[in-house]
Amino acid sequence: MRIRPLLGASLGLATLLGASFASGGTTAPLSTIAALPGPKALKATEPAASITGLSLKSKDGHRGTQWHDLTAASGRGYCISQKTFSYRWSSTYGSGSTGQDETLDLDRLVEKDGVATLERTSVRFSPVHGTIEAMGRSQVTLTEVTRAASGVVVWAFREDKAIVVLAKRASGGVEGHQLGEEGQVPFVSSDGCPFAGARVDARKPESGSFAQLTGTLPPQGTGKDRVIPGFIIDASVSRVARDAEPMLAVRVRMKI
Amino acid sequence: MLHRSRSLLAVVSCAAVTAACAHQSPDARTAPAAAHVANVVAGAKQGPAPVVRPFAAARDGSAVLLAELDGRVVAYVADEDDAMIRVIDVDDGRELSHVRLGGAPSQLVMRRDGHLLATLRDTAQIVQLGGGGSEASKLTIEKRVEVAVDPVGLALSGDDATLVVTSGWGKAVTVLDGQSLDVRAEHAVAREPRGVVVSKDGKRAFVSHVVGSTLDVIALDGTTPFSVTSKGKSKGKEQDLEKKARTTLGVDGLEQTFGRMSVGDQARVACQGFALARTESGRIFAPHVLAFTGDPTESSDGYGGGSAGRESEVFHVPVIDEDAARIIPDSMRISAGLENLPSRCALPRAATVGKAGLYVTCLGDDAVTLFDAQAVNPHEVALGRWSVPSGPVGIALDEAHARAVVWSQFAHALTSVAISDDSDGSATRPFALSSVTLPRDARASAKIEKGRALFHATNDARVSGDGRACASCHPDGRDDALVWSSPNGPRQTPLLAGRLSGAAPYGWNGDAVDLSTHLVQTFKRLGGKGITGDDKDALMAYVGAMRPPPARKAKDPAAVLRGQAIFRSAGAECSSCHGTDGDLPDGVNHDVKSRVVGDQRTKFDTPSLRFVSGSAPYFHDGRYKDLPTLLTKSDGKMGHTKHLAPGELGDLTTYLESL
Repeated sequence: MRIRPLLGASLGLATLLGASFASGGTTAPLSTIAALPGPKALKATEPAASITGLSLKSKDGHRGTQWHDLTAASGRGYCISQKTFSYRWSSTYGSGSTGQDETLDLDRLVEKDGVATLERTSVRFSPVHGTIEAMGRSQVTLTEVTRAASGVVVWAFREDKAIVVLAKRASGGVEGHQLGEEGQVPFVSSDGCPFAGARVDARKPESGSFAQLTGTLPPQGTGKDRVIPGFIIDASVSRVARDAEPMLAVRVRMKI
Repeated sequence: MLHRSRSLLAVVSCAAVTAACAHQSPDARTAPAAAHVANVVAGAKQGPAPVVRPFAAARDGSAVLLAELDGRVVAYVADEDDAMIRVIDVDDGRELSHVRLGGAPSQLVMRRDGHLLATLRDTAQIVQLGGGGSEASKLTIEKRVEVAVDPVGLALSGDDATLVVTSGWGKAVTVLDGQSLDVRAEHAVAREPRGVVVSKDGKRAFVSHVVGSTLDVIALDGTTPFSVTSKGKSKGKEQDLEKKARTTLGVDGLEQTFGRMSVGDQARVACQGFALARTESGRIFAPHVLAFTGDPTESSDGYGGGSAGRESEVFHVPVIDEDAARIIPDSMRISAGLENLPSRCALPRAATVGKAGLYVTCLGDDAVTLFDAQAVNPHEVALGRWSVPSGPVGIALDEAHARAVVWSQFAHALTSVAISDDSDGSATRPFALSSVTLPRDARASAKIEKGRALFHATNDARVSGDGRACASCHPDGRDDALVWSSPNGPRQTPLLAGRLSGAAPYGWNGDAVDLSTHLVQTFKRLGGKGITGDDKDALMAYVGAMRPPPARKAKDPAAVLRGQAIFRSAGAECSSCHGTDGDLPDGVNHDVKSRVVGDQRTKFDTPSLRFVSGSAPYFHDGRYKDLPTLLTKSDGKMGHTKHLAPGELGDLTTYLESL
C-alpha cells in the first residue's frame, strides 16, 4: 500500500491552514448574577442638584430659547444611559428648553480591589428649567463572566427581566433578533463612553435570546504594522429541559 | 460556577506531524470496557481477536469513526467511492486493513462490543462487521439486513439496544434491534431523511432531511406499536399509530434584515439538512442552509433572492431541546446585520460536538468550522475554521489528544487537525497535524473527479455570483424540492442524477438543445461568468455519470403492470408525450394550462418521468405536492385521468413510482 503522509502528499501545506477567532467564553447560571436594585432615595443631606460626574451647561438658542448640554465625566468612568427600544450610551446629551422633562441614568463603572461595580444615579432633567436633579441611587456588584487574554472583560448584572452584559471599550451592538412593533431596530450605541452594555432578554429562557456587543482595543504597533484589534462579544440566555436553571453563555471573539 | 476563560493565541503555523503516540486511550467519559470481538468467519486466517474500544461518539453515524484498537487510535472510514471500509492508524497514517462490502458504505457506527455497523446505499443493506480490523484480525462481514432503499444515516442508542437507519430515496426511517438487527418498525417520512441521532434516554430518534423544511421526532420506546411486522391492523389504525409515533418540527427560518439593505423580516426555507449532532447537555444541532427563493409571482434576474440584495442561501443551525423535543425559537432567527467572522458553509455535510463547540464540515469550502455550542445562535458565533482536503464528509473527535479526524471523500484523504482540548475554546489551534492521501481502489476517471469537485464548488465566480454551487440546488445530484423565482417565472428545481440521458432539450421551456447550452444559460442566471473548456467537459461528464437514485422495489408488481397499461393507453395519453416508459419525452413544448402569475411563457417542455416519485413537488411551479394530486388535478390539461376509477389511479401512481 502506498502511504503519502503530509509532506510527501500532493496536498499543499497552505491548503491546511485555518483561521481561529475564539478568545474564550463561558456559561453561567443566571442565579449567579446579581440584580441591580431599584434606586434608593437620596439621603436628606445629599444635594440633589449637584450630581457628581455630570455637568450641565446652557447657552442661548433660537428665538429666546436655551440649549442645555449634559456632559458625563467619561474620563472618570461615567456615562449617560437611556433605554428607549434598546440601550443607548453617550457621554453627552442635549435638549432645548422647549423639551419635556426626562429621566436619564448616569452610570459609572468602578473597578476596585478586583471587584467591579456599576453605580447608577437616576437623574431628572428638566430642559424647561435648565436643571438636573438626582432622584435616587443604586449599585450592583458586577459578575465577571469572561476575562479574555486579549484584555476584554465581560461583566453582567440583572436588570428587570434582562441580563445586561457590559464591557469596556464596547462601542455598539444589538439586543436580540427581534424588531420592534414599529420596526425599531434593536441596535445598541455608545458614543464617547468608556463602556457599554446590551440586554439579553431573560423573560423566556426556553425561547432563547441573544445580544451582541462590538468594540475595539487600543491600537497596537506603529506605522504599517499599526492595527486596531476589534472584538465581538456574543451573549445568549437559554434553557433546555436538562438545564437546572437558565444559563448565560458569553463568548469573546477577536477580529484578526 | 463561572469558568474563567483564556484567550486564543492565534497560532498560525502548520506542522506536518505524524506522531507515533502508542497506547492512547479513548474518551474516558463514556468509553466502555474493552471487549474481545469474536471472529465468526469460519476458516479465515485471522490472528487473535483484538481489543476494540469505540470512542464516545461512535454511536452517532459518521463517514469516519474512531476507536482504540489494541492500544492504537484507529479511524474506520466509510470509503463510498471504493465500496470498502478502511481501517487507518491515525497516528502514523498506515492503513491496517480494509474490507470490501459489495456496496457503497455511507456511514458507520460501532457498538460497545466493537462490532461495526454500516449503511450500504446502493444495495439497501445494513452490514454488521466484526474482527476489529487490525492487520492480524481483519474486519469480516457477519450479517446483512435489508432496509428501505438508499440507507444513509444511522445511529445507535446509548445502550446499543436500538439502531435507527434513514433511507433517503426510500423516504423511510427503519428502527432495528441494535444487537440482532431485527427490524422493529419502518416509518414513512418526508423526502430525503438523512441525519439521525438517538436521545440520551433512547426513547426518541431525531431525523433531519436534505430537502423540505422538517425534522422528525420518532418514538422508539415501544409505546407506539406501529411496525412493518405488525399484521392484522387496518390501514387507518396504522396511520393513527404512525401519527403517534412521529411528530414533525418545522425548521424554516426567519431572517431579520437590519443595518444592511433594509429593515424587516424575510422567511427562508430549509435545505441541505444532512447532519445532526447532539450534546450531553440536552441540545441537538441541525446544521443546514436557509434559502431565499424569491417571490414566485415576480420574475427575477436570476434564481431567487440575489436580485433582492440578499444572499440566496445562508448557513444556519437550529437548536433543539432534546428532552422537550422542541426547537428553541430564537435559534430559528438569523440577522443579516450582525457582526460575524468568515464562516460561510453552503454545503454542510457532517457535524459533531466537542468540548469547544459544534464542528461542521462543509463541502465546496472544504473546511471544518467550529461554532459556539452554548450560544442560542451558533451559526452567528463562529469560533474557528480549518481548511481540509476536498470533500469533507465525515468528522470524529479525539479530544484526549486534542485533534479532529476528517475524512475527505473527494481527495480521498484522512486529515487530523488540532483542536481545543478545553471547554472555552481558547486553545483552538488553526493548523493541521497530518494528512494522508489514500490510494484509490476503483479510481474514477480524473475527468469525473474534477467534475465532482466543480459540481460542489462554492464561491466559484464562474458558477454563480453569490457563492452558490451546483450542489446547492442539486444535493447529491438530486433536487432541493424548492421553487425559485427566475426570469421566466417560478421554476421548480429538477432532479439531475440519472435523468438527463434522452431528456433533451433542457430547461422547463426547452430552451437548451443540449446540456452544454443549458449549463451556459444556468450559470448566466446564477450570475456566474461561466465554465468553459476542459472544466465544462469535466462537469458534464460528472453530471452524466452521477449515481442515479436506486430503484424502489415494487410492493405490488401486478399493480405496476396495470398502471403501465394505463400509462400507455390511448385514453390516458401519458406515453404520447412522456414516451412509452416515461423516460423519453417528446422534446416538445406544450401548453398544459399551467401558466401562473409571474410566468413569461405558456408552453413547457415535457419532462422525463424517470425517478419521478422522488422529485416532488410537481410542475414547473411546484403546485402539486404528490403524484395522486397531480394526476387528479391536471386532468384534461395534460393527459386524461378523470375517467379512471380510484383503483386505476392507484395503479397508475404505483407505476409512476416504479420509474
